Parts: sequence; C-alpha cells; structure tokens
Amino acid sequence: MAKPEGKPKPKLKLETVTFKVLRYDPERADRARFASYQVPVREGMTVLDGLIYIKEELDGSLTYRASCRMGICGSCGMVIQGRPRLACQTQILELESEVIQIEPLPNYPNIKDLVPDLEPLFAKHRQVRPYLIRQDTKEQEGPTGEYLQSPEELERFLQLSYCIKCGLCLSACPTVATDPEFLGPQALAQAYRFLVDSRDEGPAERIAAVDTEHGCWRCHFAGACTEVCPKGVDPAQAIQLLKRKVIAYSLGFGRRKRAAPISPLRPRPGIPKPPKRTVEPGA
Amino acid sequence: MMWIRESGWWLGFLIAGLVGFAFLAIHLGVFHLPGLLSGRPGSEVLSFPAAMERARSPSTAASYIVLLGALLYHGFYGLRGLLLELFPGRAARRAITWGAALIGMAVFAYGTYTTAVAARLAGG
Repeated sequence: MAKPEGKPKPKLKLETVTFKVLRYDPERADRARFASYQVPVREGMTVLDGLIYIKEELDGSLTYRASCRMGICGSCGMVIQGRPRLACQTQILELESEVIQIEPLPNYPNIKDLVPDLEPLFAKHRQVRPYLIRQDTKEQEGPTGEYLQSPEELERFLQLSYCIKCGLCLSACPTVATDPEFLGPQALAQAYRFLVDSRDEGPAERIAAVDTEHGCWRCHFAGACTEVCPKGVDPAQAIQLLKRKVIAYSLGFGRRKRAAPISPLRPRPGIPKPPKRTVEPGA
Repeated sequence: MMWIRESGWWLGFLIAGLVGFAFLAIHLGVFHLPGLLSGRPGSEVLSFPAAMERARSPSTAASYIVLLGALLYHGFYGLRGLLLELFPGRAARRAITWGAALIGMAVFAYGTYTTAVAARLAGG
C-alpha cells in the first residue's frame, strides 16, 4: 500500500540553531547591529517560538510583535532568511540552516528591533475606503437588512478578503521601496475587492482614490507581493484587473451599478437574534 | 494637467505604444520584407528615385509626424513615471509632469519643423 503523501520532512537534524537578529534601538548611538542567540530546537518549532525562547530565557530586551501564533492576526511579519514571512508560520527546521537571520520589515519606519510602524499600510488602506458604500446615506448609517449575494458574486472577491493586513506585500514591493507614496498592493487589491462586490455602490469614490499618479498605474507587475503573501492572496493579479476596471469606468462602462437587493432581517432557526444597538445611528 | 485623470494619460501611453508598434510593422513590411506590402521588388523600393518620391509625399511627412508624436508621448510618459517614483511630493510631481510635457512638446515642434523642411527640400 502506498504511503500517503505529505509535506517532506526536513533533512537537517539540529539540536540548536543560531538566531542572528538585527537589533535596533532608536535611543542608542550604534542604532542597528546584529546579535546572536543559541536556541535549542525541536520538530514543529517556529521562528516565533524561537523568539519567545530568547525573550524568556536569554534576553528580555528583545522586542517583537506577535499575538495569535496561528497566522491569523498578521502581527509577526519580519524578514527571515532574506524573505518577508510570518514568524509564526515559519518552521525553523524547514529553513535548513544552522544560522537564521532575522530583520525587521523594510519599507516601514522601524520602532524597535523587529517592530515596524505599520501606520503607512493602514493609512493607504483607509484611502481606498475599504468598506461597503451605499448611495442611500440612511442605509449606510443604519443598515435595515441583509444585502443578498449569490455564491458566484462572492467568488469574485473571496480570495482577496483573506487579507490579514500583515504588511508583507508592501515590504516586498519594489515600487513601494522607491516611491513611498505608491498606494501599494494591499490597498489596491482591497480597492478591487470592494469594486467587484455586488453590495457596493461606491465605484466613483474608490476609483478616484486609485486613479492617481501614485495609484494603480505605478504597479509594474513585479509580482513580489503575491510571492510573499502568507494567505495565498494574489494582489498582483488584482491590481491588473483593477487597471482594467478603471479604464472601463473612465470610458463610461460599469458606471450604473445596481445595488444588491436588501432582505429584511428575520429570525432563522438556530441563529440567535442580533443584540440590541448600543449606539444609535448618527449619534 | 489635472483635467484628465491618470487613466486617460495611461490609456494614451498604451495607444501610443501600439501606434509605434504598427509603424514598426509597416516599416519592416515595406523596406525589409520587399514585396510584402509595397508589391515591388526590394531594389526598386530602396532606390534613390523611390526614396525621393516618398520624401516628397505629404502622407510620408504626416506619418513621420504622427510617429514622432506617439513615440515622444510614450517615452516621456514612461520617463515621468520613473521620475515620479524617485522624487515623491506634490511640488516634484507638478514639476516633473510639466517638465516632461514642455520638453516633449518642444522636441515635437522641432521634429515637425525639420520634417516639413526636409519634405520641402525634396520638392514636396
């Protein structure tokens, strides 16, 4: 009987690995320097586990950001062995090296050690209005029901909605490296995600945000964003589709977007009622 | 230059590239693959009287001007894109856009003038 195929086991059997971490202290004269730590490893241990070991056992001053430890929160993005990755998703033994070099994400201001300031990512994300826009302002402020959507309509953007805003794509993007004003793969992919959402009525506002000198036209399709995305999102493709959408819109196609029908809220078996409002619309 | 959105300039860039490509295809068809488009043998197409006849033709001069405009636009838009990435900021953005437009138009005017003079000297 054939063995079930699984992930190939790492060839390297190591008892300890050296973590070579780029330390950065904004208050010190020698601001950036590499520090080495010996970390005992066992199968299944991630780079984040190694960093936790260093902080708890070797050097409490090491600073990094992490939360969920399961690739959901997007907090522990860092450059591991020259490639942006999530520390919690990177197995130490799969790197197959006795020395693991860890640096903070590039293309962001650094706060301390492995903690980048992700504010540029969130600011760019806000610019593309990453929420459903309804032309009826009353409906926008206080939705009266569910917006119906077919599985086919959902399929158009589902992959893009897996974005966890970890910021790896911006750190890998060569255009962001030279042009800090470029909106970047994360925001542009999310702009496309909402443009093709059948429940959205705000293409004009969103296209105005991306159809600029530093918007979608500056993407040269390097594809680095897609290469590093830990959730399998394909921002590079989304940006090319966004360009097509913007050109079609500027030529007058797709301007009259019909809103998805609203279905009034009604209790369904097995699904509890929504809680009462704590804040009234417009308060 | 704010009356046209970036998508308009980018679409122009795409069309200018296609125009350049079409002219290249015509040039190859007429001069380097004799008989394909002109229907005449190569020695005849490249002979001095044939070259002078083309130089006198207003349609040749007009096509050169269209080609010049398309390639200048395509090239300067690309250069502007490069510079915008290297020099961010609102002031730099305006300076780069206007600089590229003015230099491009000046070169286009000079190229158009020399094309017209050349056609005239050829007897057109």
